[in-house]
Amino acid sequence: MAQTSSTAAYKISFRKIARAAAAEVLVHKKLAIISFVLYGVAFLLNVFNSEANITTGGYITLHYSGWGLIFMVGGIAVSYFTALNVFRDMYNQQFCDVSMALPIKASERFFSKLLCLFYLQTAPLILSTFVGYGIKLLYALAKYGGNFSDGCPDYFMISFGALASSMFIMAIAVLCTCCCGAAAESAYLSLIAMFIINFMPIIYINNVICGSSGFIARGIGDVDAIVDLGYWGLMFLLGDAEEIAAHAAVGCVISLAVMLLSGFIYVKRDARSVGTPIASRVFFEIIMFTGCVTVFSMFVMSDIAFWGLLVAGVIYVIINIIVSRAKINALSFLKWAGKFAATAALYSILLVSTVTTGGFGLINSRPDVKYLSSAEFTIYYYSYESNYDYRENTRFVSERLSAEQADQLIKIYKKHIIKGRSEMSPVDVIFGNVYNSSAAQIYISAEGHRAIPGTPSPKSYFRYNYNASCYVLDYEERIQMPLSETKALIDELTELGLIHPYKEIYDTEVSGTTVSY
Amino acid sequence: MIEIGSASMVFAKRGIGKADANDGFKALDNITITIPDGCIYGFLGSNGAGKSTLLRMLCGVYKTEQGSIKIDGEDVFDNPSAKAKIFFVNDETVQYAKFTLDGLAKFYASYYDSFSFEIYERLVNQLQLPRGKRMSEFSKGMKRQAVVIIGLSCNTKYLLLDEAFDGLDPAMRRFIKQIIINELVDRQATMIVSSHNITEINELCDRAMLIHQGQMIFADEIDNIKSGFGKIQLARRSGAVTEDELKNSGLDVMQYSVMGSVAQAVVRGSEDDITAKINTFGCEIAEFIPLTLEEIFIYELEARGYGSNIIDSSI
Repeated sequence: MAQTSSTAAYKISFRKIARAAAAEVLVHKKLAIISFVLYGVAFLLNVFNSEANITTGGYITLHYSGWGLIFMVGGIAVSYFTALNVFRDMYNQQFCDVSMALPIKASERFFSKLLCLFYLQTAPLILSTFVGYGIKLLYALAKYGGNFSDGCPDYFMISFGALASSMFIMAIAVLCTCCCGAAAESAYLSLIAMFIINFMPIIYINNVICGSSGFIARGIGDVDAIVDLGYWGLMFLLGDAEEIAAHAAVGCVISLAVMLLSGFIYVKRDARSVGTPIASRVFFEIIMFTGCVTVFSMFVMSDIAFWGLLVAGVIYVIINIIVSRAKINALSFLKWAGKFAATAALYSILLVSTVTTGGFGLINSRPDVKYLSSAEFTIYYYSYESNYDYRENTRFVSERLSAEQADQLIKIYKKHIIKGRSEMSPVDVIFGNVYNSSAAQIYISAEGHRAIPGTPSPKSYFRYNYNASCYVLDYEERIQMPLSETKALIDELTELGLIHPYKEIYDTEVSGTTVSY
Repeated sequence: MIEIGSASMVFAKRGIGKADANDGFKALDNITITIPDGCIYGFLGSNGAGKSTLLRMLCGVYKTEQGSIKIDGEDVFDNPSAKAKIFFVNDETVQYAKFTLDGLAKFYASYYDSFSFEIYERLVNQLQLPRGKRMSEFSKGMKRQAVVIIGLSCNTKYLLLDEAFDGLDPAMRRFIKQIIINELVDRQATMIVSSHNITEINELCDRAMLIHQGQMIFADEIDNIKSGFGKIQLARRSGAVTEDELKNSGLDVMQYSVMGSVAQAVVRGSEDDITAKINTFGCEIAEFIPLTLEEIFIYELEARGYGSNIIDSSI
């Protein structure tokens, strides 16, 4: 009997959900009209302003409409306001009174709101992208021949990309409205959460992990770990067409899961938390912690690391002041200071672990040069004492080295770096103490001359050469280490004849340009 | 029948936090009443007494974590079958601003299977409200009328009105009240109305409850309430009857004042009981005057110190 009643508690009526969703759409008529206009125009532009051509190889390619994209972005931006509005019973007492007094279960009400979001946002977006570009693609196929898969990567990239963006924004807004009890917190914490989800992993990996290993990423797409994180948020844009489509499709599923998980918070809430800025303390503490991690990570590994602490601290206090509508006293500030100190301490532990392990072992990674026929290296270092004349004394270049020689050079280089880094204080690394007499910053770069086609791993050391349709070695590291170890590295490589000092002569008589030897 | 058993409600302080009985604000404390079917029940109380909180608990907007609230034997929170018997009109109308009257009717008809378009049409025609105009363009009184029409059209067994007659002019107030009573009497429905306006409660309700600072002071039929209080005037040539004498005689004195040899007091108890007691003081004049509901309200709250701090500070 008890089992029957507990089962009944979880039963939901799809008829009720559909009716309630339709009623909800009526309430948000204006937002519906705005979305329909934006996506409607985008649909027309995607059909009539995009191009589907046939390549010389007989493949159909889809070139999307720039204007269509602009209108789609407009529609996607509206999804943020739509989600906040549809879930306004979570932060507005008057709407909450209406909503919670209705004869419908909280779970049914939640699903009806999700269905309303589908009607207002997702359905018109699908129409403008999947259907709009689909029509264009089918038209091209009918005209030129071929098959649908020819245009698939571009088609799915743009369609799933737009859908994933909209769903990500709505998922965050839904989560935040379910965790906040005030309109302001729902709105600005949504934006902060979107920023954190997108940028915290990138900043930490790019700045802290790569910084600890010495590897420099010229673009965020250069780091495999970052590209792999691009499954959720707007980071799916990092990959190429196939990757974007796959990442975005997975992103849609994750966003949907986040929305559904928000439902557990939604159904548990009653009107008491409406008007309270933060309904879920855990959510708020996670936002504050990850926000601090993001700001700290922007500043560390440089001589402005301290300012990161200050900037994060000020933001931390300001957000707490805004959130604490009640009277603020000295005790409040003490509490915040304590929590901020705990956050900074936790971050310090994570930071020191990252630095002492050389970016969790990333320092040990080397480009696999066995596929190369040859490579040229440039190594130079900066130090406080040699900063002004490094060109003459601290810059070294290699001749064109064979793959074996290149591998040997990199092995020696890594050996000295690992030894040198182990002698350095993590504090010096974190605070970017480059310009002192005992430390040097080494810069090494290499360029390969031939590579076999395919995607080498790790990708970060290779760059795709569109002209040659292959990957070429493009290796760059910048790392701090003791000057003594740096000199030992240079001496060893010089003695082996792998590098020699760089000379620069200004040849005015011949060509008027700089030539190097 | 609505049964409220030892219901309490604690709110967390604003800002971050969870409701905590020690730290939070106790809006309702151990309220126990039974509201029988077919009656019109008035919730009386000072500002912030907890009337709206109790109404929100009754319609499942607040979860009852301490005590219980049963609508025809069922818990109300997150229970559609119990909620389908209730329509709640809160003290604001801003949430309906974007709706037209017809739009609002369609909205509620989507949720209430019992919604009657026949009642809706009849009442709209009776009150002659514009159907296609947005409610943001309505006057405050028109908005109130519109929400009451929708509430009645939902055809629920229980109608909960929170300060629902605010903003109506006296003539319209009377008219609306008459419409509500006619509709409710026809279908044996129950109405619960909260108000500061005691005259209104007196006219409209057959039962009432007085709450103050979250605590119930009394709940009974209006006639019983009125017959449970009285003002006495006692004049004695040998000297005014003192408050101690009154109390020693067993009278429950709420307020006492003396002017020369004339003593005045507000006391609790039935007329017969009070009269029998005051006749023992040997007074030349011993008079019992029944109290109006408004006077009972004021004396009960004054006896609990309500408003005294404001009066003290103004002196």
